[in-house]
Amino acid sequence: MSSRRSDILPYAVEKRVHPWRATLLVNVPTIILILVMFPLRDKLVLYIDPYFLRIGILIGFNVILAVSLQLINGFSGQFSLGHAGFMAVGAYLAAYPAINYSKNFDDPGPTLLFYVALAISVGIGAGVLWLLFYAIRMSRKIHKALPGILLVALAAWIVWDYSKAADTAQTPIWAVWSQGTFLLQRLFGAINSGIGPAASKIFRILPQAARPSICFIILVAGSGACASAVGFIVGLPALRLRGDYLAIATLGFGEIIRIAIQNSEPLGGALGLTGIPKFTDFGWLYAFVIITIGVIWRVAYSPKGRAIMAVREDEIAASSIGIFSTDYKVIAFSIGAFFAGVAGALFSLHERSITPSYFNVVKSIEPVVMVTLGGLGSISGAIFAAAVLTILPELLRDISPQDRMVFYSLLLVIMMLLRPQGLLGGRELWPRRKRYSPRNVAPTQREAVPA
Amino acid sequence: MNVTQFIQQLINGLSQGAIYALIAVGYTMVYGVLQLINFAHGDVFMVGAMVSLYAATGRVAPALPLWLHVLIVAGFVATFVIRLIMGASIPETFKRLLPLICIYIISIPTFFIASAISRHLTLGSWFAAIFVMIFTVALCGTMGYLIERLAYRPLRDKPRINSLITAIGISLLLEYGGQNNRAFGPTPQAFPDTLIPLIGGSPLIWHNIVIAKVDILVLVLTIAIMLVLTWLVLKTRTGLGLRAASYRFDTAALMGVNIDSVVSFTFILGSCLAAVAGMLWGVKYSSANPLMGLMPGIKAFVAAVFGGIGNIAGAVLGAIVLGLVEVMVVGYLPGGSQYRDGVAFVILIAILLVKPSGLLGKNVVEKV
Repeated sequence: MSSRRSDILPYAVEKRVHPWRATLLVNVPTIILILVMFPLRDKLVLYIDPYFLRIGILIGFNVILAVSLQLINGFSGQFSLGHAGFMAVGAYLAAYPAINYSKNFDDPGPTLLFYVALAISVGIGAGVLWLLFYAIRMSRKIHKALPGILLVALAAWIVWDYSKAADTAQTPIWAVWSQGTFLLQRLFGAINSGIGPAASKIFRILPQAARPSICFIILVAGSGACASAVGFIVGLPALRLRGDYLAIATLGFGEIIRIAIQNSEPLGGALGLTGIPKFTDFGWLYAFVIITIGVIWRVAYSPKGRAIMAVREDEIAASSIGIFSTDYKVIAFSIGAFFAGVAGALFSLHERSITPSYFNVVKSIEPVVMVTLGGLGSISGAIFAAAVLTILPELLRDISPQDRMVFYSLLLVIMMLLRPQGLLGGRELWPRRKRYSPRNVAPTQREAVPA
Repeated sequence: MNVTQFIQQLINGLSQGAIYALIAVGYTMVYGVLQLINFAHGDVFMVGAMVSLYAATGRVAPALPLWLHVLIVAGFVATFVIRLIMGASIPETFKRLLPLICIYIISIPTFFIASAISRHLTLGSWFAAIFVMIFTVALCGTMGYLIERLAYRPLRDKPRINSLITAIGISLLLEYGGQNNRAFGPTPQAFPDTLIPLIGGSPLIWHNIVIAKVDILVLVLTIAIMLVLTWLVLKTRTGLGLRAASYRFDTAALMGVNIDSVVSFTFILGSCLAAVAGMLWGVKYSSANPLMGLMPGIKAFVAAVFGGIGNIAGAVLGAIVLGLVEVMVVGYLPGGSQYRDGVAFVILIAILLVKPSGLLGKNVVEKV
């Protein structure tokens, strides 16, 4: 515990405040920015040309994607090519409840229940996975039986699930699967039947005006959490791989997620979902952009972040000084996936319609290019590159609409040849705060810190 | 399930896998030597298909456009000036640029002659088929060399992620450049499936098994190419250099292997095979478009990883298995055609989790 707070505690001692208040104080700039910007969000956009507004919004999405990927690719050094998959999870799991449970954002109850139901089903799956991996970690011999255990478990589950589904004699098993499994059907059926209205009643205690925002935040955070869970489940096995193998594995997972969505009937299949209610606007988007940057910054430059960076520099050396490298990699992966899901949710609640083909390999490659071009391990670089690479094709559109993407790819190659370390090359644009580091606190005060 | 249907699927799968094998070999050789995932390889395959289509229909341009000539000459001059300022001697600079200058000079009459020939081709003659093949293979081989020389070689001692991003950039360049109206245009185009003689007309039927003549051609050609490749890698001096470089890159250089020429050879060979694959793909599916390289490229890479990347026999094995599984899933599972593209990735994840080094790959122990 003490190591986690080492950033905050000297500051708390220096200012003579409680650590919780110190945490709040440290984040004051972020909070002020959000509070100041938020009431202005509708006034501001009235004076902006719709075209520039659109570019601004695209930059917002790309900044969230790039900064979250920076944590995975830049800080933990794990090369992920599957960011679009997590974005797709976020987008679809925000769009589906938005369409089905609260079209007007007036009823947060069923939406919340939807995520609870998802959490239960994902939790069961994750629990099984965790148990298996725990068993592997505990015993070195059991891993030889792992494929067998997995297959048996899977087969048992399929048989059980299949036997519960209605009219098993006529329907092929794939049709049952594409309808959603029996377990999921029971869970999600409950939302509409009894618990949903009850949950809505609880949320009636909130004032009418606050409910849409609450509902929106539940949607975004919930789908982010779902993407994070998917990231956790994907990351746990995949992060055992290194370098190029990991890149290809994440690319494969991203594609599998996309193809699974493409074949899932409740999620609209290849045609995608349409008629998604729109809620994301400029202000909300940039509030989440600031939150993303803030959180990733705090994670990356915390003691945990230093452990993550140690794993990047040398995994074997890091584990030899007691850093559980897999844990830190999975943490970084899950946090990155969370914000990719947030970006996806914001995207789907802005665009009104989404299709699976949008989240293809090219969409995964885009943030990777931004991160590398901005400089691996530099958050400001990622932000800068995200803005540049969003604006650049638009500028090239004025020069020659037909050749713009050719120029774009040429510039990419030339940039890499001339400046391989990226624009900022691992440094930040603004200097990092030095004030709170333990070294700057007087020795007597350091002793006063409770352990 | 009956035997006839199974054999039918087997033949389809083998033919599909054979084309993947031709692409996968290029991936696996480059990875074996440079540890680089050459993302542009799938697009070289696409260029192969498009160029053979253009050569067969008499649409090869007689010369490169003027601005490209200006750009190339300016590039040469600029390189000379920069290198001289950096302190290199004139003969040394000239020696370094000689291959590029040669390619440029040879390309001028080549395009002129090829354009003239391609306009008077009669489809279905042996001459047309061989001309189109030679032209496509030569062009793609040159392209592979140029990509390596201009985009990957300057980054060889930098972190691998930079080469990877450059590869992605080249891949995007070929895709977007190909969609440009001045190149191939964005729409899919019909491929003349009568390009190669003897394969037109009705398919062979034997005990209710329909065997398309293209499939026979694909299999025969692939087997022949693989035999040549085996000879090339195992019996020649260049092949020895290639194997040495893929075993230990630095040590091979110390032992007197000319690393640059080995890497160039690898890229040229891979690109030539991809060009043949592109041509066969066009003949088999009668269609070509500038984005066709994406999926076969990724699947061929999956096949290479599946077989054990860096291992040529493994790539062929992985590709055949992948083609078979894909066709079987489409043929036997209800609604399987929707999962066609997913199969490759499921196989990929499974092999990476169970045996990351692939079917025929060797486990490398990391030493501190």
